Amino acid sequence: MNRAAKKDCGITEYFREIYYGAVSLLKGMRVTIKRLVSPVVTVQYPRDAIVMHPMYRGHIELIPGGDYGCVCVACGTCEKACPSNVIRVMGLKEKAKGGEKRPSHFLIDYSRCSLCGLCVESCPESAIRFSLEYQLATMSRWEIVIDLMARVKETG
Amino acid sequence: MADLYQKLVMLLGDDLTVLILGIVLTLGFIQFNSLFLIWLERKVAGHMQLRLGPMEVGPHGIIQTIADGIKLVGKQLITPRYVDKWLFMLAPVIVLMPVPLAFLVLPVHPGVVVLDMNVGILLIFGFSTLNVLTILMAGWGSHNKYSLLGAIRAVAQNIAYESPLLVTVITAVLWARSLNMSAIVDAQDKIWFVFTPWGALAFLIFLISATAETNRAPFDLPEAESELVAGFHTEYSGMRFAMFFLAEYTNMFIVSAVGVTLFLGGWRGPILPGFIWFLLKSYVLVFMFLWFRWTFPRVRFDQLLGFAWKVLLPIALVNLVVTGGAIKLIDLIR
Repeated sequence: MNRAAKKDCGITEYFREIYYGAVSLLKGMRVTIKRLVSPVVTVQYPRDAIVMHPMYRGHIELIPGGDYGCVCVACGTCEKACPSNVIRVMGLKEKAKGGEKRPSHFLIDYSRCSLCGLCVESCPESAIRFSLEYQLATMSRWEIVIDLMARVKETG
Repeated sequence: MADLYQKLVMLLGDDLTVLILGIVLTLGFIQFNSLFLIWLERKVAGHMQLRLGPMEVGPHGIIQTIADGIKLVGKQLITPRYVDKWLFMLAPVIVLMPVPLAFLVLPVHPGVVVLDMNVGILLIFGFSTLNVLTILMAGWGSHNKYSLLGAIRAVAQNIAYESPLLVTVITAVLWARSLNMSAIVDAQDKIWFVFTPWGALAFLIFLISATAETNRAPFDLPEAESELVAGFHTEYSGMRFAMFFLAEYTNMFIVSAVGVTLFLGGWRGPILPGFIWFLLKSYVLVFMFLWFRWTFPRVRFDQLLGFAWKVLLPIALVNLVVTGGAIKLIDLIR
């Protein structure tokens, strides 16, 4: 006999329903009382913040190192690889012959970045990585255009 | 303190002094209780959802409710255009009137009760019925379909759940053989009523019906947010809304206190003084209501009424008969 046919067949079904209802309610109450005494998962944000996981994908940043703060050679591969066209690298050479090219500005318009990671993959010098930055609220859309060169000099 | 009390007695006479002191203490307690319960509700809700709840105002947000109260006092009392002015204004005033009355007959400590009435329990349930009237007044007076629907639901629900509630109360009264609250506590000096099998069942039904009577989740259909905006208090703002809020939380405490008196032996308990036991037990019951609210989803309206008439009332009635039989048997054995 299936469940539908069994339904409404008298006093046993009536008590069975009450019994199973009560049991399931008690199960629910057990869950919530356990939650009540278990530790909370939220953080009181402005006072203490979570340390981001190393695999977190923030906006890209230049890896510090090298003679002038980073190992980027301003080749522009990332600029060409970027599908959203948000990277602009400006390089300069200090000596006409034999000198290294280095970036003077490395700009990204993060508001249009889709975090695909093609720039990180395509970089021949492995000079770019994802940052752990997540506090990105700004007052205007021009402030979200970040100069990574200035940033790497600031953070060292 | 004792000197002041003597002077008051000389000035006003014995009964009046006790009454005035009782009312003043009660009003103070109502405010404190609501502030505490609203904070507790938010804390319990938070921790059951693995978050912290209010934390900013005061240590662990303990004075958050006071800040909220000040905000509500400061807000404008908006009266919409086509409301029934008298009903709309009076409803939040009347909703708080039966509330202090119920405290007067509750025995909170051995020998401490403001009005030792013979029909104490009747008084409480007689006046608590006014609560439904005020909800209907608010809903009808608001000239708003959501308010009216909420009020209609409240009336249907309160009629449905008052029946099993009163039957369980009669069961307890039958066991104690008195309608006097103090006498009911006295009758439980050997064994609390909840520790008898029929008492336990009656207590369970009382608890469920009380949840519905106070319009708490999972029976909060009169103010079901997802369907009725805010139910009967949709059009109320500022302090008028706060009055409904205050009444809801005080009613929760009263229902718990009545449950404690009828089933859990009132102020009885070892070591600690009586009134502490009374408050402790009451707040444990209040915590049960909070626990229910943050565990169960809201029921459908036909389920709500069906549960009252088809499950609670028959079982409560059978339980009443069984209790009567048991009392007769115990008398025969003695």
